[in-house]
Amino acid sequence: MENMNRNKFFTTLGKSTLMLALASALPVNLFSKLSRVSIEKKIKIVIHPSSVKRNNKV
Amino acid sequence: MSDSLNSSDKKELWKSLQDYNNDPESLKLKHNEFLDEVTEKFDPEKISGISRRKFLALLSASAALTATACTDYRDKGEIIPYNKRPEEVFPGIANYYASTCNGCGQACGILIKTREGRPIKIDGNPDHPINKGKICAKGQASILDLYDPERLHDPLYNKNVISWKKLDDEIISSLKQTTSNGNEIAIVTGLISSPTTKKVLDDFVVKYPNTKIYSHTLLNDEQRRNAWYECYGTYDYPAVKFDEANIILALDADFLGNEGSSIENMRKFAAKREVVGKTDFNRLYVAEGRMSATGMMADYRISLSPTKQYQFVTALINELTKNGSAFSLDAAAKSKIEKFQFPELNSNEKEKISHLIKDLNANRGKAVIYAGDTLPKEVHIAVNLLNEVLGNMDIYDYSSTSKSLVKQSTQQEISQLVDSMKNGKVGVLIQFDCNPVFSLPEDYGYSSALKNVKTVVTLTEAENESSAAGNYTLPINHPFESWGDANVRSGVYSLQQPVISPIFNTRQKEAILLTWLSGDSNSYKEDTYHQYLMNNFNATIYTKKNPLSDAKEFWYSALHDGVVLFNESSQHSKFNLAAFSDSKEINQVNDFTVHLTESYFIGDGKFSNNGWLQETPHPVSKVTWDNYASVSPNLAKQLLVEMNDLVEIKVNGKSLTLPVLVQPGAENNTINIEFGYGRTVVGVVGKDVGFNAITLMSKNYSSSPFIYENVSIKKVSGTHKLASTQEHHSLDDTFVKDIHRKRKIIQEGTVEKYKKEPNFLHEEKEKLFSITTEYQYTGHKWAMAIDLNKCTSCGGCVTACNVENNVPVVGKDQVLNGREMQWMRIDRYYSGTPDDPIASNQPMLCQHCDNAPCENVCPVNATNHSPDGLNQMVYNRCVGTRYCSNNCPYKVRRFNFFNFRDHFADAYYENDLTSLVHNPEVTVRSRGVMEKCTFCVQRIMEARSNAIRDGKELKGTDVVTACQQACPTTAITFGDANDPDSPIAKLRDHNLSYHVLEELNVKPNVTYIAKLRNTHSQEIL
Repeated sequence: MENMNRNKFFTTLGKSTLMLALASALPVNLFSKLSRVSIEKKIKIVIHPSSVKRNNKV
Repeated sequence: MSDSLNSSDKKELWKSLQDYNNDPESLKLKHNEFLDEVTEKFDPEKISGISRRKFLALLSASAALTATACTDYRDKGEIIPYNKRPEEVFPGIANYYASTCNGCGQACGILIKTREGRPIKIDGNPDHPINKGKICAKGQASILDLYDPERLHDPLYNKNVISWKKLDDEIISSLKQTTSNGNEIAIVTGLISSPTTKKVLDDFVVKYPNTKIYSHTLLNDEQRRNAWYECYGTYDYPAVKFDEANIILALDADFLGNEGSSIENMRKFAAKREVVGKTDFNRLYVAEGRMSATGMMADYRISLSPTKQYQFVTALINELTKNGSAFSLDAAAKSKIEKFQFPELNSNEKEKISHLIKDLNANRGKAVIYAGDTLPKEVHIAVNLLNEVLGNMDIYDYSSTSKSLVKQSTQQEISQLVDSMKNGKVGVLIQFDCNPVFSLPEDYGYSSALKNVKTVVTLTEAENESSAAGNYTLPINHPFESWGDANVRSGVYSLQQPVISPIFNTRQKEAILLTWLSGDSNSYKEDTYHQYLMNNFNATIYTKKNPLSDAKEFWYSALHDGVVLFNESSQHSKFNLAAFSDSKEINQVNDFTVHLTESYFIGDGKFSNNGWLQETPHPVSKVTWDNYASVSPNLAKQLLVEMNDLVEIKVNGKSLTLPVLVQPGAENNTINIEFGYGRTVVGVVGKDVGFNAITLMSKNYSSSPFIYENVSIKKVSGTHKLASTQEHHSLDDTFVKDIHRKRKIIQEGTVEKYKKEPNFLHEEKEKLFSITTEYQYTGHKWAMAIDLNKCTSCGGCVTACNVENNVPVVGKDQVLNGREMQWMRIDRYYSGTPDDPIASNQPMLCQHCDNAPCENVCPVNATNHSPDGLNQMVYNRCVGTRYCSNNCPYKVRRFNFFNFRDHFADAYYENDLTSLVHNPEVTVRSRGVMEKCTFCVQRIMEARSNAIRDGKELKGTDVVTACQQACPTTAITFGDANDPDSPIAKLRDHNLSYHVLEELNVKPNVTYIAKLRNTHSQEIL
């Protein structure tokens, strides 16, 4: 940035901030690799009500 | 590969044939720790044109902007505490549930470890009398199948989602219609080990009298059972007391690998390989065509084609009856036996047979001859006679017999089923949690006959070849979501309980049948089968045991323990000599033979979609992600093939093209191929991996469905790269060529030498000294010992470590680049010649060196040493220079070149479901970070916090690492080296103890116990 003056520096800074703010609002997943499989529903792990746990491991 | 198989400058130890022949490729691998093109090429012309000032300005501006622009990139969702905590759950504390493994037919008892309700680890149930707290690699890794994203979610009709009610109504209607039409309802099932499931099937037959049950399992022991029936009148054969046998002769029997109750066999075998205290070793002879895990453990190994086993056994009977017999032979048997001589063998093997005969004679009644499941029935009958002749029947445990609840259907029965299907006489066909389209030989015509059946219902966890050929696909619960029981051994009844409710819209497979049995689709309830199982339990087991407690209490205690033991009598009849006299003679074949065997980790294809198992290196060849045709070096020379070359194998008009693996020690005319690969309808992980060996099978076989003669094999154009890990992480020995022979990475001796000179290993030990003051570990000092006499290279430790420490699956392409991520590997070395090698196994992991060379070179101190002797990794400090790995002489460090969860198969494992398998106590590492064995520091911390909570002192024996817990032979010992009474301290001071590369003075804390070969001489042959 040999010939950049103060005005130009702050202009560039302001424009970059604006672009970044817009970019951060975009959905990130748009640019990520698409997984071949997707789980539509939320996964819920429920302990089985009739299972009997051990009192000790050994 | 060079022609010089008998190179004059042969090494004492060699890892592969390329290494043995000083192949340039092999030497190149040793020069470069990281293979070609692993790190990107540095091209100065491609450097950015931005100047340093401009770069720094942009950098600081970007940092400022990023700080302001960052919103919620870290947001993975909310973590909220329990508002109403489930009664059983304490955050941070694991729960354990007893259950039964469904991985194979052995029904081992397991403990399922759960955290916050989700299963994360499987270990053996210590209360179970058969596996006694140990479980195989398949059982360990089966946890990943629960979280397989490609499990079926909903029932399907012609690939479209259908509701359960509609499906039940349609199928009940089909069943009723078929019954009234007089057509057949066929249920095709796999191996049934549950008495309650059998009862459901029996009840189904009562309700729908036109029903016939067909049982088919690719990997079965029918040859052994049929032979036992002909000899003793029962299909139930006894277990073998390998811990009481002085001499064991295994004939193509991988009893220490994946055959039968291998966990139990390994434990019993290792009981007579104890070096602490009295050295009372057994002696193992193995006669086999392929090189198996059991063959690698042999004291004497004879290379023998499976087609010559019958001749071999009868020649042994002939020889051994000359010195008397515990069982008298009639004239017919004698005249049959006298016809057979030993097969033609070289002088080396003749000497081994001479030793064998002497040993069997000297140990009559204390020896056992054991034939493999793949050998013909006639060989098993001859083996039974040989054991009778030697008086070995006390080696059998008649109180523990292997039961057959539902006999496998014969070839005729399955052919009849197919004929009925073709003729339109089968109205409904139910494929009950099995895959007959894949596992049945093609010449049955089963797959094409399915088109003639109007209603084909497949009950399965995931899509497979059979469900793709049917119209109704019903998703069933995973075993960890299912109720069940097992009674595969007399006197042992194990229970299976669900630890979680079904994740998807699946049902218990028996409950589905019970709904159809009731005839009313509305009758299904979540606990339908639970009630049925409890009722059957009360009617059978509770009645048998007749305990003092009431039925409900007894049920709960049985679920808690996971197993109920009771007295169950078994028959032991006199040997029927006519079974031998009347049996078919099997003449030896001097032509090529194909021998089809079970895969160590994939089974019959059941575990194809399990990345951990696909990536676990084969115990012998160390190949991952593939199967191959294993041929001897001589055969390879004859065919002009090298490793990875394609060959076409033709048997009875069927052909299969697959890559070759040149296997030292393989019999010259035997081609060994493993099952389980080449599946076409399976998840992303397993699809098109390997080659389908079932293609070569036929319903018309001469002696065994696993052995085929008159085989043609020829080289064809093309190659298929096999991803073998054996040559990875090799030490560059170019500059120190002669010194590496003396480095004694593997140190061995013989029992004879050890008895005469117990201290022989330490006689030439160099005295090491330090020029600095050494750190004194005053508190605990964690250390490990591995007994090489007991290690069978089963891979259980490798898989257990993967599960415990969230080790990612990297895929075949990355394994080819040397980037496999397993913290533990089992190195396999050969010595001797390629035709008659001696194999040595050595588990290798981070040695947690006191003078760790990796710690000094880390520029950011990401790897350092703890006060209790652990070499630690601080992941968030690591910047990925890889200098530590460069400096590690054992090559045990693993670098995350990618975020493998994202990288493998297009982020296959990067989903909400699979991430539930992770152990929350262990960091999931991301890209750019080095990782390695931590001696299960999370388990050390857990034991420490338990000791503090209980107000007790932490003992070394309170900590059990994952690998130690998994090892079926207890080859691995872990503990506090500063406790003089601990087992680890005693092993560190043992006469046979040594450290790998001790002369480097890095002071490793993993001690190896040298292997002793039980041969007749003081030198290893």
